[in-house]
Amino acid sequence: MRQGQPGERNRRDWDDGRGAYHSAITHSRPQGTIPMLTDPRLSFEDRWGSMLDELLVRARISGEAPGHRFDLGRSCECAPIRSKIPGDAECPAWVAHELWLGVRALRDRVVTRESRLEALPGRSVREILDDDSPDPGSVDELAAVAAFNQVVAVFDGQVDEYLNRLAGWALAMDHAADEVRRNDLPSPHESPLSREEMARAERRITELSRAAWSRIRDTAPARRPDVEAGIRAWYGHVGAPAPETIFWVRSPREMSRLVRALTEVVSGSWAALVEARGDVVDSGIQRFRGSLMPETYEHAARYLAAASRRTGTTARIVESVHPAAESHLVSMARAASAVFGWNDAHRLRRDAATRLGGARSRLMESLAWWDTASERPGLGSGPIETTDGTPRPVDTVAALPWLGGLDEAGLAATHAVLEAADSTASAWCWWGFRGFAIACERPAQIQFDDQRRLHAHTGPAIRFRDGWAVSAWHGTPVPHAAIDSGWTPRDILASGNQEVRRAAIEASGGWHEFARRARLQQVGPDVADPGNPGGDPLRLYELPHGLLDEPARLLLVSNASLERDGSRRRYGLLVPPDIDDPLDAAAWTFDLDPALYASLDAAR
Amino acid sequence: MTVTPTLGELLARHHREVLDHLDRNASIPAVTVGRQGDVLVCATIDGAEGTAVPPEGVVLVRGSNDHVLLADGDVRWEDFTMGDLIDEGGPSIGMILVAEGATAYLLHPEHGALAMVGPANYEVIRQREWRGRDATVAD
Repeated sequence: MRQGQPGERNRRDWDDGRGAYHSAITHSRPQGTIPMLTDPRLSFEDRWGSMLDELLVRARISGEAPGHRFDLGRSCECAPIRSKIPGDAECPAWVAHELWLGVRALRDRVVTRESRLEALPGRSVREILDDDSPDPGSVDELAAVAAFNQVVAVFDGQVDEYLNRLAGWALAMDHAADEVRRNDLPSPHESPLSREEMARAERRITELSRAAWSRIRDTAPARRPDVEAGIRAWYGHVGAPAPETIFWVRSPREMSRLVRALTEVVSGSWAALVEARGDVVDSGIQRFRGSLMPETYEHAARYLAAASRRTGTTARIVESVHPAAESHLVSMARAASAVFGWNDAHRLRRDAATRLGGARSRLMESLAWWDTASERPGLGSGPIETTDGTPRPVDTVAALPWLGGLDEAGLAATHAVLEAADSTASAWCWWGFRGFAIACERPAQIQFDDQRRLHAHTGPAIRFRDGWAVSAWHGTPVPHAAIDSGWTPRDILASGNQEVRRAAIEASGGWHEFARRARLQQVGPDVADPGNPGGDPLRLYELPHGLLDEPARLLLVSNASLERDGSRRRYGLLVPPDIDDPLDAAAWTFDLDPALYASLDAAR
Repeated sequence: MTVTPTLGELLARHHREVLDHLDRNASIPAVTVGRQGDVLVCATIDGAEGTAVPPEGVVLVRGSNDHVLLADGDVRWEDFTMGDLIDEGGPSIGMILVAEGATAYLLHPEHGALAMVGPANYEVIRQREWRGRDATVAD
């Protein structure tokens, strides 16, 4: 093997099957040994930190590579790198951090297994799992050291695989960066493709978008054998043992209830659930089937928050999607550049790369059911969660993936992700744990508007096979009653959520109809909306006596930003009844002096 | 007078996306007082310590879409709500501290971006409505 200079890429090292790890370390240590990992004088974190640091520097072989510090778990300084690589190339330090999380989870698992077999004296499984540092401190030193040495021995056997993967990701990023630096996309004045080839490329993009869209809209039952085989393949793909059991649920609500029940069964700890063996979990599901679900979000919520919304296994699976989809992206960009010309292609490729990142984020979020609004997993008894008594809609991104109006590039990029996700795509979503997985059936019914937003003007917009359903108005989830029986103006104003209130007004006929039904009376003149010269004016209304329990007035405000169809969203905000002027009312909503509010530079 | 980037440049630099019908060629307005949907930023003479804004930004307000604080240069964020994203104490949720030569951006998928140029501090205020008692606008 040719001895490369520091900073020089040696392509043969990648291809010779021994992996980047060996070549990277060999170049840095002519002896070819890796003493750091086994040096007992260094702490666990120090050893791994230094090792990954060195690998990062070597793997990012580039004359411009900054002295990149890998800082465990803390923010990285890689903005200069990212800005050089358009598209969704991941920061290597972040990738390495994710690897570190996987490494640590593996450490915990080994220690857990060992302690179950040997019943480590003086330390419970919980203590070991919760202990971030392997340093034998105040607890039984001998037992802890024995467990730790066992962990190190296991790691040294596994390290090549993990580090090769990290090096592989870094290589994929380098390739993407090279692609951009070489500027090999054709300019608008040269078209290397014939007219026929261009037409074919255009059809291909349309084809990809349609395929992705039809998958999203599919309500046929999931093909369970395919999904299960696909899930097992994903586990194999990331080097984890296949799950012993795969549970099927009918909706994300059932999935969250199952997770909650299982968390209770498995010693009440989310961390333990992540690592649990399938047979332990299986006994738990028997209890789930027969029992009522108690409201015990707190357990799972606490640990879900700590686990950053995904398990190590799931994170690795999702990260594996990216390199596979990257090649789709590049080939799609070539086709797009031929069809649309350089400027559009550049934008399309950048947009598509962002959308790929967005689609991938949404894929991750579909794998981890999380209500970011109320910081809770899943749902309770219905589509609207209450926190302080105020109805709040569920975060639809977490619950219902790929919503929100996708354009052609977005759909094509989503399709790249879907293709990589392969046969598991016929499930609605699935969640990978160490010993088991949970897969969710497709909805029985799902409806969209012409901007591909979840929407139905009667009945729910999405309904799952267990009956759980969500109503939505042009992409905004709302309580069923707002669509079905129709809310009264009192109901509408009682809603504490401005988006739900707005959607409910739209669903009941729009603002004029609402003003008529509520018998609103204008107070004072229309006033120009500060900072929003082209927008609608501010308007203040008196509410009829008795409409609300407490007197109030209503301020009509409009978005400064336009919707896709050119319209503006309108909102009615309750303001104190003793305010007479729309501008004063608007200033009050921001607790600002009216003269200062009037001096607003810009509203968006 | 600082030249602010276009929306597209900001998105590319920070790996973010907005709804695709927003004009990416539009330059981002620099504000002393600015409104983004139901969030207002207002330059203030008050100060705070704050912590550095990481490259991935800080979510200031969660909703159906998030308002995210992004930094070009030395920008710090002081959270008045102690992480509880619905502030019971009043509509002011925190302060953005922008050093000389730096610019902070508030980005939202539906509303685009606002720019806050340093050296200056900006108070961040959530819109509220009247409930007999005050309650924060929620979406």
